[in-house]
Amino acid sequence: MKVIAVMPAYKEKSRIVAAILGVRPLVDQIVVVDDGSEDGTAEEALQTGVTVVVHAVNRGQGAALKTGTEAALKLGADIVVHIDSDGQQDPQAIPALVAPICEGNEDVVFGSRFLGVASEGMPLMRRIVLFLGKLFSHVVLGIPRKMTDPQSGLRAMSAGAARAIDFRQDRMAHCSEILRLVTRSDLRWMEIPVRVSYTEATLAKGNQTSDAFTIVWNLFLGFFQ
Amino acid sequence: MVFQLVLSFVFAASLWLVWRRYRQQAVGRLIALLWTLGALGGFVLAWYPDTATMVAHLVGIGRGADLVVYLGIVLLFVLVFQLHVSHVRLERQLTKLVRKEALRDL
Repeated sequence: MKVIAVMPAYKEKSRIVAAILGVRPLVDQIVVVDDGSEDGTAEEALQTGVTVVVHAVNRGQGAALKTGTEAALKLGADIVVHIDSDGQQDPQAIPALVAPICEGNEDVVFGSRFLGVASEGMPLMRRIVLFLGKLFSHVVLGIPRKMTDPQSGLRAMSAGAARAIDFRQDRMAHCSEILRLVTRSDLRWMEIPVRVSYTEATLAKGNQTSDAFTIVWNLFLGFFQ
Repeated sequence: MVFQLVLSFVFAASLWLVWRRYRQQAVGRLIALLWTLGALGGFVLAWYPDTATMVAHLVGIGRGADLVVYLGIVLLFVLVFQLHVSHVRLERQLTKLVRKEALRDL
């Protein structure tokens, strides 16, 4: 089975090569989506020989993932893996993410930070926000309570599932949207534990606490589209 | 009297404009009718202000001017929200365009 990793990247010049080298041995091909970076991220990624597609202007992580997923399907992927380009998520989880799909037992596998493998350096405020996010996802979006990590960006899906999940949130709300679409469909899904390592640099660039409100607002607006 | 005349001119101009836009197929019939309703309502309120007080009493509001302000605030909320939604729609169209361009040579 052809496994293609999709790595959305925005202003990741200093980290993209290390992230690619970490993922490359574990997949058949990598598609990096440079989301309108102006720091030479695409050029750095191209030097490693991976496929690079470029957004002319910044459209957000959700949009980049969707573009990457379409690219992966065009390239003949049987399984599409979504993984960040900042090296925060441990790529060693990829074989475990992909295995249930290869065996034909699941259609989508999500990585979870709350299934026994402790994340390194996760701030207390992030834990609180994620807990509230989980509550919101269950009560408002109807995502099953057994889903332990509604904001995980590490996931794998079969080509069929990737075609079926028509997520439209361009920015940070895509995680919740994907979960909602998957859990309300006939797709089979599961979670596996993954390790995430937070550093000062990734925390400074990644989601802020206030972004939670933006996510809720964007999901609300999404209902009117 | 000057105030009533100015408002009447504004309402008449908005009516002329919205039906012109309707003929140009720039706005739909529903929007044109809503504008007409709003302009006629404004016209009545400008010349017969007591009408507002009468309607305000009917819905439990003390003064007609208060009713007009409340309705104005609600209308502004609706308009801002509509603008926001159309902005998001435009953003998504832009994303589609950017994606099409990004995948063109693949």
